[in-house]
Amino acid sequence: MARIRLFKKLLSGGEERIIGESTRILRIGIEATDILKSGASMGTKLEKVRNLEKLSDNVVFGLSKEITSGGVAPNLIDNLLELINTEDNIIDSLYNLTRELSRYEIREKGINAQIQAELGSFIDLAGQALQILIKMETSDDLYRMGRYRAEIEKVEESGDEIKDSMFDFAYHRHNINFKTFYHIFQIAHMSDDVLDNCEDASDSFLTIMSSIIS
Amino acid sequence: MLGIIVSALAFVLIMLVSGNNLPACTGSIIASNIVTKKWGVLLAIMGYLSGLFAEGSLLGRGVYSLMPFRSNELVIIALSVAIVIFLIAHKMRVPQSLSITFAFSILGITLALGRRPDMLFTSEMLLFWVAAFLFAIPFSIFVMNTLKKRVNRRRIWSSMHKIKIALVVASFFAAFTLGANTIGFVYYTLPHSIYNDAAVILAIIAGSILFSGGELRRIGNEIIPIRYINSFTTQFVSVVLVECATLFGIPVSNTQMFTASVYGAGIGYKNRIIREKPAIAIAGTWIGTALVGFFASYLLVYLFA
Repeated sequence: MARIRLFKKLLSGGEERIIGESTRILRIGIEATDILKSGASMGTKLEKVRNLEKLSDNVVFGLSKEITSGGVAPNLIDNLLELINTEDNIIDSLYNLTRELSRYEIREKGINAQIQAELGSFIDLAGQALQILIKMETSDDLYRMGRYRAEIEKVEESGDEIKDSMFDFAYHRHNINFKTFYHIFQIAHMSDDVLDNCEDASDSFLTIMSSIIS
Repeated sequence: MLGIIVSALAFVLIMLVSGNNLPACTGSIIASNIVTKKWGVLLAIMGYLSGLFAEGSLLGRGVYSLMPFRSNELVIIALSVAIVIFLIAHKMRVPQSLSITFAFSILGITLALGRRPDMLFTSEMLLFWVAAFLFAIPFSIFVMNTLKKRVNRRRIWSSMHKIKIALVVASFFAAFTLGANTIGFVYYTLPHSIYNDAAVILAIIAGSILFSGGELRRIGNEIIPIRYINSFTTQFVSVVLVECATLFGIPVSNTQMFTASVYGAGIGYKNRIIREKPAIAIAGTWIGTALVGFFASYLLVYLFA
């Protein structure tokens, strides 16, 4: 039994293990989106997301160490490092978004309701993109991976539409002060960063998997 | 006394060859972390020894055809010339082939003594070197394209596990064919004695352990960007060609076959740029070292015999 385990370990190699481990970062991201959607106070949300961001940094540090200390084939080192750093950027973007949300509160009720609704849709899309990314990274089928990548691209495009609608809202609203305008602008960009990073991670992952069998 | 010198020189030469060729045999499985360096070196030692004892005797034909008459003095000249050329080429960091240099060196000795080598065998050998090199390129392209088509893209990890197993097996056989051909060629040039047998076995072990470190780093970082399919292709093609040569008793350069198959695998990637200059430089070095080996041995025998 021990011999079979050793044989399996020998064959699975670093790439498979590192990709499996990297889904931990994505699960941390899903946890962060759940916190953002929850009804907790902004202070509590910020505290929890900050802890998750630190946890993600630790996971990335451990994986980077494994990758650079000879855990994978040399031609995959750069691509794997790029993948885990992009995944970490998703968590960083979620943390930046939480910080921005805790920094300023929109006082005008109408504006706040509209922005909260848009933000809720954005966070739902981020959760969806992360779920698809996990499915993609736990899949064994290159064709299915390509389909997951296309799904993430569509989610990202939906995010772009929400971002545009937030900009339109901010520009066309008459009774809006500069701080609120700037806050909406920042939220739209930071939310979009989350989805952009999800798309970049899916691209990196597909490159790695294509490279492994080429 | 001369017997001790022969054993010592054989020890040095085989030690250098074992260490220098280890990256071409198990370097790819070590550099891609399929096995640790310790296991990669052990696999190479097992391959060298089993190849030498299972098929090394087939190279006896080559040795007797090129050097029908032997003595300790002549073997000392052949070994010394091969060691000096090997060290100079290594210092200059140019690719070299011991099989080619050594074959031309003993050919030089035979001609300097006024004897005729087996011309049929010599022609076969020269023809095989050129033909195998040219054949290795399209053969690599064929093997790689076939493999790429057969990889199951719906089960990537499982396909990768199979390629890794195949790569470990191919690496063992690369060491096996090197043991049978290159080391067998040197071994059957030596007069039979228990001291020479011991020197060869110890040299294989010592060379693999002590002289492979720097070369392994080179193959992992400088020479080829290792991917599983191209690693397997290069190993498989060079194993098949060296084994064919061994069955005919023809000494052949593992480095030559390996280089040709690396080029073939490179051409197999349609979007890769293949530089011709290094290939010309490598071929030039092989011819150059062969001629140096021939004339150095010829001159030494002419002066001292």
